[in-house]
Amino acid sequence: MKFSPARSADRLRGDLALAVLAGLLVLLTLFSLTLGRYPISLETILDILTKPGHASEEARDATARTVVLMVRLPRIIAAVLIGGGLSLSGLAYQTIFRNPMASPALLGVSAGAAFGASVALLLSLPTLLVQGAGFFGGLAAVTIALAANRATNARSIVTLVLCGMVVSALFQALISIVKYVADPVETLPTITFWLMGSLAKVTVSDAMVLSGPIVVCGLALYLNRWRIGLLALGEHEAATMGVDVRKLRMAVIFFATLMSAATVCVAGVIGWVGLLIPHLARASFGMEPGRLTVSTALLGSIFLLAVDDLARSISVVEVPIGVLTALIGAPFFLLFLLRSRQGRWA
Amino acid sequence: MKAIEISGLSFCHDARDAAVLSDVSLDLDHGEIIAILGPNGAGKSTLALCLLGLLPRERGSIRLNGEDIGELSRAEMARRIAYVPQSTQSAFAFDVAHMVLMGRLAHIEAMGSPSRHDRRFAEKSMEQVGVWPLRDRLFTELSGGERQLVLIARALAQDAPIVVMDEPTASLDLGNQGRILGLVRDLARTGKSIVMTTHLPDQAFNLNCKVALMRSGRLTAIGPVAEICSAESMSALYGAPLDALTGGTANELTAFAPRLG
Amino acid sequence: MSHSVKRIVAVLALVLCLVGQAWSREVVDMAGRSVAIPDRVARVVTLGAVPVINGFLFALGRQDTLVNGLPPELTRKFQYVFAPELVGKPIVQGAEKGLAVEDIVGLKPDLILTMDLATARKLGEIGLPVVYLRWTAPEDVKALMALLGDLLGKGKEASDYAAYFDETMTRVSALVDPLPPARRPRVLYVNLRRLTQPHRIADWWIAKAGGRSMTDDGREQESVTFSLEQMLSWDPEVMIVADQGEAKMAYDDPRFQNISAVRNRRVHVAPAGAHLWANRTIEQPLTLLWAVSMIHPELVSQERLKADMTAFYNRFFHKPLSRDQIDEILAGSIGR
Repeated sequence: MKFSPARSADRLRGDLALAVLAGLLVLLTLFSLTLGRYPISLETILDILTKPGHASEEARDATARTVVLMVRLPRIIAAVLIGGGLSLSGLAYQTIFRNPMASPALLGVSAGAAFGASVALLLSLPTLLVQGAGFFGGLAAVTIALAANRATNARSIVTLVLCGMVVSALFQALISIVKYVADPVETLPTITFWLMGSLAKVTVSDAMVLSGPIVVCGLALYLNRWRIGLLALGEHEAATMGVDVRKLRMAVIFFATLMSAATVCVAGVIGWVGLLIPHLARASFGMEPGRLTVSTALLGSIFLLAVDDLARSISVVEVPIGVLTALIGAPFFLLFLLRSRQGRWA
Repeated sequence: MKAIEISGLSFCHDARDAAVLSDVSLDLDHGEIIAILGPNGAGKSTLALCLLGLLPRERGSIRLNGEDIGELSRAEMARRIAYVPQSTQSAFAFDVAHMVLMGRLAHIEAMGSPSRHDRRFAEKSMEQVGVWPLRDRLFTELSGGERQLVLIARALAQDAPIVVMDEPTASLDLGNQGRILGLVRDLARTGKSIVMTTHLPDQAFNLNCKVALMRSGRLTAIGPVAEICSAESMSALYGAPLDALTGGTANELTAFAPRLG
Repeated sequence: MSHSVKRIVAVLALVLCLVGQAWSREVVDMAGRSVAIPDRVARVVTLGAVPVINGFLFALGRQDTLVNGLPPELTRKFQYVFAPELVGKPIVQGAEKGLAVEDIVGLKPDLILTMDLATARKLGEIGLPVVYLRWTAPEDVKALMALLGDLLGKGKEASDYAAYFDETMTRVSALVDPLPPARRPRVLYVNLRRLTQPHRIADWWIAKAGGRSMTDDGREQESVTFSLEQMLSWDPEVMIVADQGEAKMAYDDPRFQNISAVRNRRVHVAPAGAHLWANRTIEQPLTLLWAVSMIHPELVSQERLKADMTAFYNRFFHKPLSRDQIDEILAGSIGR
């Protein structure tokens, strides 16, 4: 049979490119560990990573260990997880909503999570409750959007998107009210900073809590990549090719929402990553679901890690990462649109 | 057992609206082709969608090879009946090989990906339909006729015994129409049962197949094309005076043209 | 007859005008603005940093004139101890510099005090008697009190305070100046929740008290933000926080455990009386004494500090405080 040699060469090249990306991520991680105000050499860092500490070590060494393992590493891990998670959510949403402009925030998860966390900050609740409130706020927003869609008889994708927009707008308005009544000395700056997204306060437990939902949901999306890809053709065609459209769509929304809500409650609102990275991945790696999913996750991780490195080294005062992703993401996206082929969209 | 048995099918979009389909019944044997003819809005596409299980039926039953489609899961349906839509819109640029390969998903379990066998099957389908040379082209960059051929290749790759085609030659030129019709005939010869909706009675003559006439959601006649399609029946069907034009190598083709007043 | 009546009316009118003039005067505030203030000030509204300005009035014994209450986010228990009449008074400012201007006018103030220039200008434009107070350099408080003393007829109390301020400064200098740089530990006043040092004045009193403030870089802005790594890099030997919640945070968080101040249990909560002592407050001389007692305990003992506190609140606030109340002030606020 004509087992096209061109295709397998193509596939080999694709796999090689993915391996290169993975290697790039590892290198960037090591590099990121060396960045920071507290001076630590690469040698020391490698030492800290590989050998366990002892109680009798000098204060200076103990501090270096603290900085690497408790300040920098959790932050880097969070950036990798969040970058990958948001990108995968964005890819999933763009596929199931058949809309290249979709982002993880489409159904209101970011606005809902931001609202939940803002209220918790307003009430001066401890960090754990702020994160919990954010998480459930995000889930609540999406649930409301889905319920509203169910209540309408149309039950089409368009009404779902519209419900999401309405829910987003509603929660944004509520956030404005929270900001208005918040005490301008302590609470309001905290809320504002939180809304702009930041990885500055990520602790070890944050990173661990984050890894659960993102790894599990990411894996779920990867394993179902072919069926999810089918949804891009439309409900009727996907159904006739064997997909239980409603169930799969719900499942994808569930996983993507869980991932997005988890990222928002740890790091605040970080935009543009979920929108931009899937486009880059599609343009560079094509539509083959396996390569597309893996490359999306890797590109997302690399992107956010690089941006976070920039956020904490660009000036004395740390720049909120949500601001940087927008500042970098928007022109990047414009450039990409200008240079991409016309045939990319239907 | 018949390939398709539709009995007393009724459907309407909304409880208050008039029924889109009323009491439709038809049968199809294995390897048979049936062309559903009717004016715009007669309910042809709705019938196709009901047959595929994409629209919930109000009353009546649909059986595929004796099995009621209500009892079948989506995956099981996909292995029994394939769909060639009139056109397809994708927001993303898949290449032809990928498009055709997607038809194999019906045979891949939930979290799997296409195997070597699946890829070979898809390649065979592309060759059969004649779109193998287009395999690396982007679907969105193809002409209308090429796209339709690719969709047929996809349905072939799906390897289902029944294929439903919704106006497969709409907006295609005569050359492409011929290609598609030839493919339909060849598919039927391999044992597939084909349900085709169309505007053009002459296609039914060309295929020499069974014909069902639909008007306002009801089947007004069903039988071999030579018996069912005459100038009178066609004029009644389309609600306008039509002239019959006979031709072909042995005068076995009849086309119809509207008679202008 | 009518001619005489007219003359009497004219004379009366003239007399009334002259008398009326004597009832108000022109004052120049600390932004150089001229404001007409009545001679007898009976109703005062304080805006912006309400507890700080209230504190000035406490020290002059004129808390009876306050007509507005404390906004909830700025409330402190001891404000009500020093001025029980404040309870239930109407609040005229909200978040985000929102001033309820009509409410302010409705209170019919003789004098409005603020430390925000924009507020002063805005209210001045609509004809309200608003006086701008400025306290940027540490010594400004003396000029500020002198102005207030003049406005409220408490000039003597104001100069009393200024004298006490200078006395305390001299006393502390005498104790601290001989210390060589090697004996001045690294000190950091920090808001741990947001990793900022919120008030520049802390750099001053830390230095005066014989410490080296890590955020003292000659900056112009009130507050400075820094990263966690920066704080670890500074490794302060003494940390000062604004409430007990933050002290607990400092001791509990595993990332801080190697900081010298945490290891040696030298994280101190700034006391809070009429206002947080770490920020600008009329109690600043006490802040200095307290800071010395924390940074160099051998120079000022706790008993000495408490005695000084009791004396201060007695003398200036005319409020004898119990032992428990003194301890409460020293313990600082509980925080969130």
